[in-house]
Amino acid sequence: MVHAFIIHTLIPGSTKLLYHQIYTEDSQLSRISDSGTIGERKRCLVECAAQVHSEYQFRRAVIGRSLEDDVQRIHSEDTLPEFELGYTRLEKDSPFNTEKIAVWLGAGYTCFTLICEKTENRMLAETVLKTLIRFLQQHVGLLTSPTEACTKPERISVILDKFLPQGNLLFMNHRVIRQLEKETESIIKQ
Amino acid sequence: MALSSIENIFAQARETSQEDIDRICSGILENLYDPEKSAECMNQLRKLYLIIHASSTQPFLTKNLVGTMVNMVEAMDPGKTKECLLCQKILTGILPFDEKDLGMETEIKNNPNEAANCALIYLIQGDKEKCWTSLLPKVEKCLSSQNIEFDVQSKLLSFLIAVSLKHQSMLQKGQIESVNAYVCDVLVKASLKQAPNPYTINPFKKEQTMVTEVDGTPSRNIFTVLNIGQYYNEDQMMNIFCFSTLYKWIYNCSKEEGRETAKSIFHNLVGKTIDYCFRILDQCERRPKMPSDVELQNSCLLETINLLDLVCKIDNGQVARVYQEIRRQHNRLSQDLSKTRLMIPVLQFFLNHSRTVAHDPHDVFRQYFHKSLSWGFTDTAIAFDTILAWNPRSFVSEFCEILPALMSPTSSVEIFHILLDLPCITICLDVIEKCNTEDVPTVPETEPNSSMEAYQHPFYRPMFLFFTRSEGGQGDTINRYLVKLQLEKDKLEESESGLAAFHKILEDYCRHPRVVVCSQVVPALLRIWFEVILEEASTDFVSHLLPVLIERCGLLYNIPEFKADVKRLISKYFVKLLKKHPTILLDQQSDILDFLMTPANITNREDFFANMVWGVGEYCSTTNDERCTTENIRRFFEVLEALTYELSGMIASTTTSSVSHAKITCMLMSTLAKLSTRCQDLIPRAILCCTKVARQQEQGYLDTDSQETIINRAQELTNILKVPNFAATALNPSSDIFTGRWHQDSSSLPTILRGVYQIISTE
Repeated sequence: MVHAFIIHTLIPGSTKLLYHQIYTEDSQLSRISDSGTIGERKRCLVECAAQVHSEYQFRRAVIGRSLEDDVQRIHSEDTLPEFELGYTRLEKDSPFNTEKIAVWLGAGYTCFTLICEKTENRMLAETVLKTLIRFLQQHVGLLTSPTEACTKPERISVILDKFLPQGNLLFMNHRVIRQLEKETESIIKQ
Repeated sequence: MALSSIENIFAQARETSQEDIDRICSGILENLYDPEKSAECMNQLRKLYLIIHASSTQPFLTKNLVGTMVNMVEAMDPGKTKECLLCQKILTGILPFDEKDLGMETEIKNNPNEAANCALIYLIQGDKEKCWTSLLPKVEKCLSSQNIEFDVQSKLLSFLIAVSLKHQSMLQKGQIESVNAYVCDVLVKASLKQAPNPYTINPFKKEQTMVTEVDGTPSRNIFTVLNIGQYYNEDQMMNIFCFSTLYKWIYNCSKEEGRETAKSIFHNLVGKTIDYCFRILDQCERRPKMPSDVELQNSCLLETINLLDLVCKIDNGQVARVYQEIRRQHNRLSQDLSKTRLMIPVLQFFLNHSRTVAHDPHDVFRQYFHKSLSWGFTDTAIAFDTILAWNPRSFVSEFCEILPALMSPTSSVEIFHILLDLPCITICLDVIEKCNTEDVPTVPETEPNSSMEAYQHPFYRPMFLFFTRSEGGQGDTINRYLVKLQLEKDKLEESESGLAAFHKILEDYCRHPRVVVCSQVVPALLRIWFEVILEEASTDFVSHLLPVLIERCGLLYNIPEFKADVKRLISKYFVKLLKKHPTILLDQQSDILDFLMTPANITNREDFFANMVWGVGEYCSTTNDERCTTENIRRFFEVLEALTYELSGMIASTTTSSVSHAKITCMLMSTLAKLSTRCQDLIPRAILCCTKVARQQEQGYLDTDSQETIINRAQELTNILKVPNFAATALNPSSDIFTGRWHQDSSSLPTILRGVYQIISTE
């Protein structure tokens, strides 16, 4: 199972955690700071997000695209935009006590990151991440208005519960996805 | 959308007073079970969630509220799923509590549904209440009992896997075996019939249809994740879940066990896993009807190969039949460039198991690293396991680790060149990439103005190809390599300036972000490179390296910070290398003399030049190398003497000479003095030289500081040299100088001098 799923901003400046869900114990943290376990947990997730964020800004610079161009591409189409895909290695003790790999997809304002164990199937992580983004966009609209993560957290929870149950990456073919999609819709409509 | 609007929302939530939080909490308690007020309750839960999300400290929640939320999660009422999940979200945001605070250690575990629903909370709370030991056997028993919903089974299995990740020792052998038996069953016994549509009520019970393969043909073999049905039964969903988590389960539970124990515990599961994997491999050769399932097929293939690798490690009796299948897969995958990424686990498998079946996978590796990588470096996923020049930011630390392993006496010099030219390699890759996509017009006749044009230019094309070569040759200085290139291509008219010209052509890229980052990476890697050389290289190697250092120190891609850093490193490590291998001075005497003979070499290489001068003076001595005959010393002396006069003349005649020239002059005089003490015939010439320089500088244009320094130094050296025996000792201190003994031992030279000085001055 993945260690955590996080959603964070890609707006220039420091990155903000919009949503996070951890799936394994905090014994993963390399130290416990004065701010306690929960403070340290958040700090670690923010650190991961910051590494991803800086890599994304680098790629933006290489292509010579600004945030506005990036966002434009989302608004101009109804379909999902093209995402930047990245793998970022999180070395041992920075911030977790074992090496982890962040698999992320980002576009416009928002980035979606799965913090995986080293043994995780990264190809699968990528596919699952795409599925998650599809439904998060459909039900929460995170790509266009990231603050919705703060106002509709229960919808994110429902989607994660179906498509990333207990943090497990599942091999879902198109019919499985359809079945879970229907279940998700009926819960959200409740 | 500005960052500030998000910050505002968080700040507002963070500043909520405890009173307001209390009000929200009591509101939740009041409304949670009131069907009329579900919307209001949801809003309150959202508010509470946001407060917890935004604040970094833990807000105080009443025990009553926490208990109620735990109950919600336990029940996971289908009519209130959203509320329950949000409660779970809030709880996982504030856990872990101190022990006993959660109040869930006693009664709940006998109900498998409740235990399953709380699994995530258990995990995040950790084993603070020491209840896992009693919990685990119950979970294991629930799992193997019949008639449990998919949802519950998957949560329980998931809990066990999470425990196995960090606390493998808590799981007993019997428990692991019992879970294995359960997983075996689920993997091979899932039904092949489709589930009926749960959203329609059909009074006439239809004959159930079979699931199909991805290409639409009816399925005849065991059910797997690649079987398609309109709807899936619970046992089929569990089959999907089990296969998805199989690797982690086996990996976590076997990593601490010895091979024999693991083999006996996993014996049955290994067999079933291989069956399932072989079935998947077959299914992966079918063409999916839905394009979206292609991705799934690929990730299944990856998982399958990794699984097979894992089970072969546990039971190497299986290698023979699996190896054959993997080779077949390799042949199939290597035909398809879009499947390059899947080659990595295949190669890993060959690497791990080729010895068992006595097959030499060398050809396979060569093919992969030469062909596939050069084709796919822009694909993030493939590059993740390899390339630095394109993704400098992501792979610095990886390269820091593997660099020493890549270095061997034959490859080191080449790696040195590659490191220094890393920015250029980046540019070449970028240019080639762009030229392949945007057709740039060919301009063969005029001198190219940009890197893009240069690529099309026949004169520079070989350089691009050379930089992006896939197989390294024997290391040599780069210009000498270009001479060879000239013989082949007959196009490079002036090979000596070839690289410099190439650097100039590429200058338009020097602010490109990828190149800048790459150039920042180089010094770090270079430092590691030098450390390894310093540690391990033979004198012979360092001797061959010296001309390369001389050459490359002045031949670097033009990014000022990059140049400064690299030069600083080369100069610094040159001294260290010389200290360790002083004999290279004579090995490479002619190259060094060539370099020192020309004052023009000082420009842009001031530090390196100064260190070279110092090095000659310090280490050209019979104590270091028996070949330091009078003749050899004289040869160095004469070149340096001529240089001193020339340089001093230059400084004296122009107003614009730099501080570094003055510094080098000082060093030259010291070196001359040192050399002369080792060959006493030269002492008068050294004295003469110093005196002349001093006199010349008195009328020179130097700033007072430099002038004073040079004159003082000349004066001192002249005075010392006037007493030859004393000069020999003072200018050639024994290596004891570094041990600190001279400051402590009463018989050491400085102590005696100090004593004598005191006696004289008191008299």
